[in-house]
Amino acid sequence: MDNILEVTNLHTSFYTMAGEVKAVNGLDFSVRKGSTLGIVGESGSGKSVTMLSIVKLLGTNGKIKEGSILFNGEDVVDKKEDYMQTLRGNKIGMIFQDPMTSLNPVLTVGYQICESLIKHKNMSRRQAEKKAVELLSEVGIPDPKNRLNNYPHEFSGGMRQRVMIAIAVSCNPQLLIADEPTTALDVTIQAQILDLMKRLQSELDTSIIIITHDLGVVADIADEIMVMYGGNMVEKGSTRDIFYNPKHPYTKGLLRSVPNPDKLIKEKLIPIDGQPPDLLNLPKGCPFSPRCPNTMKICLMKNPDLMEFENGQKARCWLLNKEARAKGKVI
Amino acid sequence: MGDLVRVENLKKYFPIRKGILGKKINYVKAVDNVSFSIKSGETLGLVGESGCGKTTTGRTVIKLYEPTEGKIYYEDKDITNLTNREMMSIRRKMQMIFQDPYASLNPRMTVSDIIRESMVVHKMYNENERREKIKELLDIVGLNSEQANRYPHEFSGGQRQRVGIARALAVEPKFIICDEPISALDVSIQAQIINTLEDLQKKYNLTYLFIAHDLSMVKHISNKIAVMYLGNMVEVAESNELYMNPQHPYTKALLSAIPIPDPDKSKKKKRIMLEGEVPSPIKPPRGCKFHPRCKYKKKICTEEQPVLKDLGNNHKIACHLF
Amino acid sequence: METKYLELDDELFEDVNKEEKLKNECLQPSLTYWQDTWRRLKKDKMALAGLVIIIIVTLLAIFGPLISPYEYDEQNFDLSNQAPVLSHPFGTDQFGRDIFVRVMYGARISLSIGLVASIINLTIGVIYGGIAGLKGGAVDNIMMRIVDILYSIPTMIYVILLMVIIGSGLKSIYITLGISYWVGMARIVRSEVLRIKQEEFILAAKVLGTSQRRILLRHILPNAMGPIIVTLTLSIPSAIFTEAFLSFIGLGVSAPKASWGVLVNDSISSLSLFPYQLFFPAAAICITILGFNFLGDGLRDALDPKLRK
Repeated sequence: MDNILEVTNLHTSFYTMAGEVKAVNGLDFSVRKGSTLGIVGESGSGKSVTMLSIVKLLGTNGKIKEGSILFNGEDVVDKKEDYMQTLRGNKIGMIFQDPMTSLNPVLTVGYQICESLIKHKNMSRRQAEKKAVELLSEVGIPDPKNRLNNYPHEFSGGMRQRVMIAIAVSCNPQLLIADEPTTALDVTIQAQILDLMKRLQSELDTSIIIITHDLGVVADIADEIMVMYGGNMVEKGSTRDIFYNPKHPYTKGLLRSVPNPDKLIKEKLIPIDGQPPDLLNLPKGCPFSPRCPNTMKICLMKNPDLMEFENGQKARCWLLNKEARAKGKVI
Repeated sequence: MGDLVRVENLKKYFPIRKGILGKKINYVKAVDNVSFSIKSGETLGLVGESGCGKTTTGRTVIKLYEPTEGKIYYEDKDITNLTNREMMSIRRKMQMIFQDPYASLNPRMTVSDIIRESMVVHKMYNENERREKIKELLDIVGLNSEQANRYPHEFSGGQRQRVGIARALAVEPKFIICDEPISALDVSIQAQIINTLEDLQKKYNLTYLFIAHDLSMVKHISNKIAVMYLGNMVEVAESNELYMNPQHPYTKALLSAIPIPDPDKSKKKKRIMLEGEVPSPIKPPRGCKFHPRCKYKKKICTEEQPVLKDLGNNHKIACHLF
Repeated sequence: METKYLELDDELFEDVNKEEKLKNECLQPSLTYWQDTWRRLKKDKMALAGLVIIIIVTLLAIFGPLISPYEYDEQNFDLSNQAPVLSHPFGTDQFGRDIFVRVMYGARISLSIGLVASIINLTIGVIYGGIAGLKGGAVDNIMMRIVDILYSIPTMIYVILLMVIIGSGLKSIYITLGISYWVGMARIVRSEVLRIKQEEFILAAKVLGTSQRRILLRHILPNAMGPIIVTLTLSIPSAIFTEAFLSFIGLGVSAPKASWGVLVNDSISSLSLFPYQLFFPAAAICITILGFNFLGDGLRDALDPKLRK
């Protein structure tokens, strides 16, 4: 078994006053053991909901409607909350965007690290505290012994994120999910945190899913990249393929819309027209069709299927079909 | 001189009060001795990490905060100590675009009310002309004027930011402070807003003070960039010069930390990891405020605060190494 | 599956123009804040029940005494202490007065008290709290300490003092409400103003040079309307209850005027013989207060921005 995680035909919806929000529509993807998958997408692309579906933290009005999520070969979709609790924080570690809201403000940092060690690894309090000191020094917090007794508000933003990482990796998880882990941080701190994540991955050999909107971050850390738009994957491939040989117009547009600071002569940016889709009213056919520079008639009628290339890159676009047809190839 | 806006030795200290009598026990030195000037029609980028005082600088220049010390000149006129009434004519010339397009529009007002408000406050035009003007403004910023009677929450982030731009433009300003105008927007939308700002600048000969932490966007839009650290300005230069030839150890680290959306270059890039984090502005370090994190610190750095020195080529730097 | 795409017509792969492309992007119907609130409120059964109760009580209070064949102070000793019958659905009291018309008349007094309380809340409370919040600093500190002092004096002390000076009656109840009932509202408004004052759209208004007055009236208060309305709806029942209580202990409205408190008081002496004389006015108080509380709770949920979207 090469894949730590296999998601097939995932449909997740939220039920709100205004109607059903189809956040994820028929998503398929997998994560290889020991590799890093970057999920890139803008607000409303369904990237965070995908992550919440995997750990089944969808709240009361969110529901997985269809599909399977195999973690280590076992489907978690129909599993009860008790079972999920043995996974979360143990086999699956999580890091969220805002470390202030994901740490409990009235408990000491040491207590929060020890909690999962005692629960999942049956450690005694003394053992857990010893391990917590090791973890804190591992993630680069100076004077870890004394810092154990501090409360989250006594740490700065970057330090809090380090504490979150220490908690997430405390039980040697097989999969680490990081949802915008550096978005709230300054660039110099972001560089430190990404560096730390890379180091921990090579030491612990975990798989990582990192969700971000920052193309620079995934270029740095990911082995593979999945681009999401309007609740589904539009393209997936190795990091180099995505950056140097993008197939989908949305991926191409994203790459064009960020400035290249190495150019001395100023060039105008080429933005993607239009606005991100409204998940309550997804456009018919391809969700990107209203913003796409090459929209065709068929794009407004039917969402294309994924097309796989020889190098393993996948993309979901009618243009690719058009090219293949021109060459007379059957897809 | 050609400088539209000039700021000299600007300081803004926020008192920390304690007890029922509100005794000042200390100060947060948010902006400490900052000077810069912006030529008409140009853009100055102001970058730095959170807590470096870049937003406070912007707000003090437009006099949302009273400066503690220093002088602010608009068209060579000292506006530092103008009363609110005297400021009114200046306010028409200086406007601001805010960071959070969700919080910066009044949720109970329609888009046309929001834009009209600017003209009502400054008693511009009669009601019919205002209606025409609103249409025109929406058109300029790229919004459908049929949507003028909708409320802000019905728009996406990028569209709201356009409403914010239309509101600022309504009073026909010459100088606009853009306070992190794109950091809350999606990547695909950021370029739209940047292009709109650039087009408007050309069309109306606008002058921008562009505050942001995203160095690559700042580099793209600015003629000159100023780097701030803990209330001080540490380096100022033409944007290409600053990007290609940074001198201050902090600027170097900041530039090296920018993630590049290019996997090969990203792997080759040498990162200068800064140790530790930005100290609290309540108790800033003595001497050069960057010295606790600086690899090259000398004895003098811990004792004396460096001043901005001109290295020639309009490249100024505040560092004892030079 | 393999040949599916080859079978597709070539025409389908032609480019479309911009208009057609944008048609595919649908916009949501426009809903204003109040339409949205009403949509939520409509789904809340309890709140709607409350609203219906309030409307019925109001209609009865306005038109009931006009339609009824009896006057509220019309005495008829032949029919004293009658049990409820068709001609007197709530029965009669010891002077043979129709209790139904007296309860409806009582509703007038109670609702007028509610109205006065809300006017006081809206004017004094909102303006006082608004100024304190907007000015901040020392002004705020002094204004709120005054509020604290007003709050700490028990209502009974005002009432008794006022009774000594101007005698009992509706007027002194109004004055009592005037002195103390806006305090809660002032606190709510102040904290709302302090919160909204930090928002970026207020900074934007300041950048434009908008006057403080305009900022308060156009920008801050409309955004504080939610909590203001909820506080208002929830303060009305407590005002009604205060009046009933004061009248009950003989410090408020006095006979022959028929406030609900007076009616309850009148019935106490003959409670064991004619319990219905107590039941109907007491039920009127309960139902009305419940109605306002239901509506207030429903409004709080409907107006709470955290539940939006």
